[in-house]
Formats: sequence, C-alpha cells, structure tokens
Amino acid sequence: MTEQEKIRVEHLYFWYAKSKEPALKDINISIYEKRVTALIGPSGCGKTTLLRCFNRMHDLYPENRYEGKILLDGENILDKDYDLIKLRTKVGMVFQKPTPFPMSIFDNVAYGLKLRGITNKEELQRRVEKALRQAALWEEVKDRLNQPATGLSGGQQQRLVIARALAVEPEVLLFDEPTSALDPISTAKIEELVVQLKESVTILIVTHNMQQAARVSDYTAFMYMGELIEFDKTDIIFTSPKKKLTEDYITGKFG
Amino acid sequence: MLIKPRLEEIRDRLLEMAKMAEVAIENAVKAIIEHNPEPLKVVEEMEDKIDQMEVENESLIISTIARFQPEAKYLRILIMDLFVNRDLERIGDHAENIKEQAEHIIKKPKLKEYVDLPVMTEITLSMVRDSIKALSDLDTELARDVIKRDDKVDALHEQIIRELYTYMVEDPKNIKVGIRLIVVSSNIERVADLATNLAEEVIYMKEGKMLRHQELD
Amino acid sequence: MIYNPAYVRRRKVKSLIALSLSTLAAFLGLFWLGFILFDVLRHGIEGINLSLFLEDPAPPGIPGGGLRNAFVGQLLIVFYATIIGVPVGLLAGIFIAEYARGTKFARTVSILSDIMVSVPSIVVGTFIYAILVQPVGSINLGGLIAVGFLSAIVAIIFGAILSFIVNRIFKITSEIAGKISNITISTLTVLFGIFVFLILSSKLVDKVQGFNGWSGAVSLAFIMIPVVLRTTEDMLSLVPWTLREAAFALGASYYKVIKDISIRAAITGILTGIILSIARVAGETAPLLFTSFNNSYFTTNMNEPMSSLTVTIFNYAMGPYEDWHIKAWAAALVITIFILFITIVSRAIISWRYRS
Repeated sequence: MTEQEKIRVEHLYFWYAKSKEPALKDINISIYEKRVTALIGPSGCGKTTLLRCFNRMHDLYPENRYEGKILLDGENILDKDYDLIKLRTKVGMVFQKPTPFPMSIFDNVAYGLKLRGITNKEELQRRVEKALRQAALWEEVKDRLNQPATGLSGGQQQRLVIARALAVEPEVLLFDEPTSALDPISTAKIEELVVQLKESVTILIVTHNMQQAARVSDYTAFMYMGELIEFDKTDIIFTSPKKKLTEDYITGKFG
Repeated sequence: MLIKPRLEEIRDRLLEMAKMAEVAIENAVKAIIEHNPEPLKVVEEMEDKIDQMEVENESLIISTIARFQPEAKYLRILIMDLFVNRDLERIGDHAENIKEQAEHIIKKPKLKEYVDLPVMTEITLSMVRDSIKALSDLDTELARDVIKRDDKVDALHEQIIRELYTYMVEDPKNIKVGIRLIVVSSNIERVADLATNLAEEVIYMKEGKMLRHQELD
Repeated sequence: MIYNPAYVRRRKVKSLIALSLSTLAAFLGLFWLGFILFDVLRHGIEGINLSLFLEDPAPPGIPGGGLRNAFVGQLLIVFYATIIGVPVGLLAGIFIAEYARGTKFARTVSILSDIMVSVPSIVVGTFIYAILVQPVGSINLGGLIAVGFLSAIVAIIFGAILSFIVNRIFKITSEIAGKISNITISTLTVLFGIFVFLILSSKLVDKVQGFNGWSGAVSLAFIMIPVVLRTTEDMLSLVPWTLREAAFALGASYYKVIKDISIRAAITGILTGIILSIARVAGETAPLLFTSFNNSYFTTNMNEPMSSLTVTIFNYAMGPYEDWHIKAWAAALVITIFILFITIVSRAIISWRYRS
C-alpha cells in the first residue's frame, strides 16, 4: 500500500471568538489520499473543530482565528488569498443531521452544480444521476426526482446530502458524525458507502461511535483536550496503541 | 457488512498458507523417497514464507476482532481462523523437522524401498488438502471424512515402527537411519493429527459444535 | 404495590373539575364569537345590495346611495400601506435574522418592534397626525415620506435586477472586478432612486396640507412593519442553522443562502405573516381617524382626505339616521368577510405547503 499525502496539517492552533484558550493546540497530522481517516475522542476534544478547519467553516464567524498551516495538495488553505469557493469545491462536507434543502430531490443534488454556473439541462441531468448512483440512492429515487427531498427517510436524506456533496466532484469529503441521527440499518448503509467512496475521494470522518471508526477507517486520530494524542493505522490504534490515554479511551475507561 | 471482505481476505491467506504447508510436507518426504536433496530447497523456502505469514495473519485476525467486534458466526470463524493459522504453521514446522531428518537420511545409503511411507504421506496430505477444502467450502461432510482417515494414518505409523524395528534388530548399523525414519513417520503422524484439528475447527465454525476429544457419531 | 384508592379517586375528581372548567371557558368564548358573527350577519345582510358598492353616499337624511367612496378608499389605503410596509418589514426582518443575527443591534430592533406591535393603534394615528398632517409649512410631508418609501423600494428592485444582469453577462470572478461592479451598481441604484422620487413626488404629491390618504397609508404601514418584521425574523430563525452551513459548505455566498435556503424554508410562515398583517390593518379605525379622516365624496387622489370603511362604520353607527345604521352593519359584514377570507387563505397556504 503506497500512501500519498493529500493534506498535511502543520502546527495548527485555533481559537474561537473571544476565547483565550486555543481549541486546537499544535496539531500535526497527515491525511492520506483515498483513505478513510477517523477522528475520535471524548466530547469537546476538538475533533469537530479540527474537521471544520478543513473547509474553513469557522470563517462564518468573524472573530475565529487560525494559526499554522493546512496544506491541501501543497497549498496552504488557511491563506487569506485562498479562494473559499475553490476550497469548498475540493472539500465537501456532510453534517450530523441530514440537511436536505427545501427543494426537490433533483434540485438538491443540482444545487452545487448550479452555484458553479452549470446550466445545461443535459449536463445537470447526467451529473445528478451519476452522483445519486455513487451515493447508492438512484434506484430508490429515480422515479420521484421532482418530489420534495423532505419526503425521504432519514437515511435516504443523508445519502441525498452525500450525493449533493459528490455532485461537484470533490477530492476530499468531511463527515461530521454522519450517522448519529440514524437507525442501525441506515447507519450500516452509510458506513458501507463511506468505504466504497474511498475509491475516488479522501475521507475524513468524525465520530462519537468508536466502533464506527474501527469499522470504516484506515487511519485513526485520537484527540483529547484540543490536542492530537495519537495518530496511526486503525489496525494499530485498536490493537496496540502506543499512548496510555488512547488505550484508556478505547477500552472505555473514560470518554 | 463491512467485515465480510476482511473475512474473505483472511480466508484467502489461510488457503494460500495451507497450500504452502502441503507443498512443504510433500517435498520433504519426496526427498527421502527419491533419495535426492533437491526438493528440500523448496521446503526451506516454504517454511520461511509460512512463518512470516503466520505472524501477519495473526495480527490481521486480532485487529479484525478488535475493529469489528464480531458476534456468533463471525466470532467463531475468526477464533477458528486463529487456530487454523497456528495449526498450519505447526504443519510447516513438521515439514522443517522432516527436512532435518531427510538431510541425514540422504547422506547414508538407502535402507530399503519405502512402501508404507509414501502411502502414509499420501493419506496425510489428502487429509490436509481435504481439511483445507472443507475450510474453504465450509463442507462439514468432508471434514468428518478427514477425521475418520486419521485412524488409518495411526495404523500405518505403528506398522512403520514395527518394520523399522525388525531392520534395526537385524543389523545395528541400520539403527542410525532407522531412528531418523521413525522420527519422520511420527512427524507425519502429527501432521495428520493437525489436519484432524483443522477438520474439527471447520465443524465448529459451521455448526458451533466442539468435537475435540470426542468420538464421532 | 403503592396504591391508594382514595387518593386516586381524589385525583380523578380534580381532573374532571379542571376538564369541565376549561371546556366551559372554551364554549363561552366560542359562544360570543358566534353571537357577534351571527349578529353582524343578521343585520348586515339587510343592507347588502349592488348600489352599496356602486353608488356614492346620498346627502345626510336621504335614503339610498352607497359606500363606493369608502370601499375604494379602503382598498387604496391598504394597498399603499402594503407596498410600503411589507417590503420594509420583510427586508428588515431578513436583516435582523440573517446578517445581524445575534448582534446587540438585532436584539434591540427585535424588542423595539415587539413594543411597536403592542402600541395602541390610536397612538400611531396621533403620532402620524403630529408629524405628517398638522400644518407643516406648505409641504405634504406624509405624501413625500410615502413616495420616499416607494421610490426606495423601486430602486432596490432596480438594483437587484441590474446586479443580476451584470452577473449574468460578465460572469465576474475576480475580487476587484466584484468590488468595482458593486460600487457602480450601488451608485446607479441610488441615482435611480432619487430620479424616481423626483418624478413620483412631482406627479403624486401636491403642496397641500391637512388630512390626506397618504398619511393614512403611512400610519397603517407603521402598524404593519413590526408585524411583518417579527414574523419574518421568527420564521427565519426557525430554519435550522445547519441547513445554512450545508449550503455554505457547498460554496454558496450568504446572499445565495438567504435567497435559496432560508427564505425558501420559511416562505410559508413569512407569507402567512404578511397576509395576517394585511388582515390586521384592514380592520383598523383609530389610525385613520387622524390621518386620512373621511370624505363624503368619491376620490382616488391620495393627497385629499379619503374615506375608508372602518371610519365610515364609526361615523354611520354614531349617526342619527336609520339608513346609516343599516349601511354601517353592511359595511361591517363586508369587512368581516374580507378578513375571514384572507385568514382562510393564509391557512390554506400553510396546509398546502405542509401537505407535501
């Protein structure tokens, strides 16, 4: 297995607005191309905060502050000049709760494409179908593309959101606890999907569910109190972690 | 189920390893029967690979258990995979033992034309082969058949010891080679026992029944 | 088992008493509502005929004639109030709920408009009287303010269309070009607004003073603005924040997010708020008493005093003639049906929206 580095984080610090204590402290990590990397750790450890750095979601709130570097394909995305639209085309995101937009299934998936100026009907149709197939949802919705997306079940909505993110052909996909609002069967489907998707995209997944991280990821990062405690292959983290803190968390002594 | 590709990977690796163990035994005995050191090179090569694979398989199986927390069927399969892995490595060790004896035996003139040894080896190898086939197809019929063949191997082992005993009584010069041949035979007998273990493990995987130390119905 | 039959019985009795009392209260309320509606219907139906809508009032004491002036006046005043009040309330609501979300300014405006909603409408009427109707030199300030609002709204629409067209044609991508086009468009918009204001004020506003239709429309708009603002703000706040984040994550700008996500998600509530605010002001009398006042003659000139249904009902009901009383009842019936109608429409919008 040759590993290609997709993202490298160097000495990343992050402060939320009006907070003196950094929420992320000196994070250094490599994210490998076409692999699934899971971020685990107890609540408030900074895993979601770190995830949201990768598409600069924190920029929505004016006084949030970064320090350090996040290199995506060698370019620092924290650079003020780095184009946010470009970043968010390269890096897609799927949230904890399904977020279907108040429009039809088709329009949901086409939304990102339309934002990028694609108006050709045929092209839209082709890309929407491709994305829905990738998200394993096409067969279920192909006869009702014009119906509102809110009529889908929770699991379907989440796959729709994944299709919407995939439609713009991102290179990296961020998942923020994508199954915490879903039932076990929908969860299993999403997990399988995540594993399938790594054939074409690099995936980062934050999860509360340690077993989920164990099942789907190739690499696991364990975070605690805003610091990256350990990062290694999932096989190693879950059988012989090097740090005691990691072992204690994985064996359920805290968290 | 995300665990399935992992299980298939482990199964494939075990089958590959079994094939190597089989080839190792086959060549080790072949060297004795044909009185030719050439096949022993293969044994050496296989043995190294088997040892390396055993370690890799073990960590693969353990991390699979750790990551997927298997239950019921999957748990049985993985635990048995662990046993199978160890059993195969032991078969490899026996091939190594046979090889060491073979090196000495070949240096001396041939004691006799071997009659029972090839038969015993053939039955043992068939047991190994079939237990592995039973493993890959989860075929409990075949596994039960393998277990039954073990008696025949035991009988042949006795037969070989008796025969060599007469040779050694006849002429003490035969003792050096005779003892080594007995060691070879008992190594083959152990391989047959391990094949029986494998067969029992297949039955446990499939049916959840522990057969060890029990007589078959 | 901890089970005390006597205690359980006591509890059941209490529950029964509470249930009966609240049922009784509900029926009491319904009874009076039904009674009022029935009474309005019973008296009002007498005076309903075609001439009521098509003829102007006959001289006092003489039977016959109609209330055409009041119907038309009412419609004009409510119409202008709506096109002044709704856009202002809507845009302010969007600003408070989206761009200024969570700021002190937003909270202050929110609280102030809550207060404004509960200010008695007669206070609004006297306030507008004081600043717009009471002689202020020789300028019709009410008309100018109304026209000011109107031209601002027209200019905003103009600017929106202009920026849409510019974006479509030039496909602006670089930041500097974006800034230049923004500045150009805003300047053009302001100039256009001033231009519209000058034309409209010369055409629509005479240099008269005293009671006039404009001031009536402005005072009704004053009542509408906080209602529309608050419902818009509330409905937008109900749209989950993560929905917006999802759109941002796809690379949408805040303007796009508001247009495509927030407003779409909240549109039902916002429309309902607008319609209910129209219903609210359609029944107001007090703010019109001091502003548009009344006019026995038919007019569509907003610079003149203008008759409205509500004020007419007030005057006719107080008047000495039997014929006036009948007309007041009929007008009351018409206005009740109108309000009932728009309330039902808003309900229909909600159920239509949530059916799918």
